[in-house]
Amino acid sequence: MAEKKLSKKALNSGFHRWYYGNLTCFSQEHMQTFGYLCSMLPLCKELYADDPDKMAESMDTYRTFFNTEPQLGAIIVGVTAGLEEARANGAEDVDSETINGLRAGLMGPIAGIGDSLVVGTVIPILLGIAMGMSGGGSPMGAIFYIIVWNLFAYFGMRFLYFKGYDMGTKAVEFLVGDIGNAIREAVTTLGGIVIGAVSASWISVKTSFALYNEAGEAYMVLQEKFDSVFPGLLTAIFVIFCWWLMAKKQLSPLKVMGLLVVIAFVGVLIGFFNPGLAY
Amino acid sequence: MNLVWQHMGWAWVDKREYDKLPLVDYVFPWISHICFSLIPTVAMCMAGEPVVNLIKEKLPMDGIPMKTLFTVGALLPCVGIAILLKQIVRNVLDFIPYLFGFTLAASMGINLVASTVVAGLFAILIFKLKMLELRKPAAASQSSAADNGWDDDEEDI
Repeated sequence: MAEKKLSKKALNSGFHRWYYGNLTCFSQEHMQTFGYLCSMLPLCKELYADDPDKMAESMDTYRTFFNTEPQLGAIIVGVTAGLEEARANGAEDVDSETINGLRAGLMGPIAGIGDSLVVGTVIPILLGIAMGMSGGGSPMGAIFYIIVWNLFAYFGMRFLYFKGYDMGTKAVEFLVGDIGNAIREAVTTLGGIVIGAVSASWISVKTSFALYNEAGEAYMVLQEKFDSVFPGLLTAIFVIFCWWLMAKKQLSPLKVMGLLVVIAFVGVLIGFFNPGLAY
Repeated sequence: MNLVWQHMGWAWVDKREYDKLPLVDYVFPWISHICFSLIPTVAMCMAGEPVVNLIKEKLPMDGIPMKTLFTVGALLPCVGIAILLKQIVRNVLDFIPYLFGFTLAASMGINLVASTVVAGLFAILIFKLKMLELRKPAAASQSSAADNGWDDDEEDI
């Protein structure tokens, strides 16, 4: 049997579909799942053109939930393109469980790293430059941002996608064997630490609750007590609470968000939360 | 509204009508975008300052609705982080790297890029430890095979 090889046209189609459609049909339930399905579609069509059952099996692989930082995440999509090609050529170690294990193992860490490097660093730098160019109502800042960001995203994602594809085809054993497990565990640890840093840097849940004496002076400020125990304690508690609701109680993200709305409303009523903002 | 398109998409995937999938990702979401982003933005821009002042008057920042709205805004990102944690955390011990990263930023004031560098070092250490674990059984089985050979030689002697 002739070895199957993905054509440049199919790979380009897969990449462009990911570049444009990674988050277009976003929902809290499925996030980037449909973007991933549509990106893999031209590749699966080419690899399994003569076998509809195998095509269905391979498309079913990508029904599972997926969400990551989309720019850096292009490498994961490229890797699965390579793995799918290896599967089509009969690689024994590559099945749906292996591919999804790799996707699930990499998406969290890549999200943490991508959020800090791209969303937390590159985008603010570009926006800072663009805002500087927008003085006096000039449209140059917006034009600069649109052009530079899209060039960075397009060529960066393209490089990562095709690099991932090369890794997927050339290093199947490396990615799915014991060394692959060691790499995944290392990347998971890296991702966990970065996600912790992202939580503490970007999320701020604070309480405004305080006790006042007769002179109107606060003698017990609850947020200061929390900070003395562990800075950012409330933020960590809420993140772990949301994890517990979704992972252990199997609540959907929508229901968790609804519960947070109720908690926020009750918290505001009793004076536990007060953003203290003004127009 | 995107859930509606996705519901249609899952039905098409079940029926193996894959050629309709691009509609779900590239076409229908435009309807959601127009309804919930384009029309409200254009309406507010056209309505102008009087409507903005009306909103400020009817919804003051120290009222319950706006306080709740902004508190929810502060809490909702916790859901996104929790979704990421769901992919990484399998048992309680897996929270330690997360809390370590949290401590780096919250208690030690280390920024995200520096935290990534620190996390990278720990990733290298974990990888090397795992590789040592993998090599240990392989080395043990090789040395036991060599010992058996030596015993045979001794018996021969």
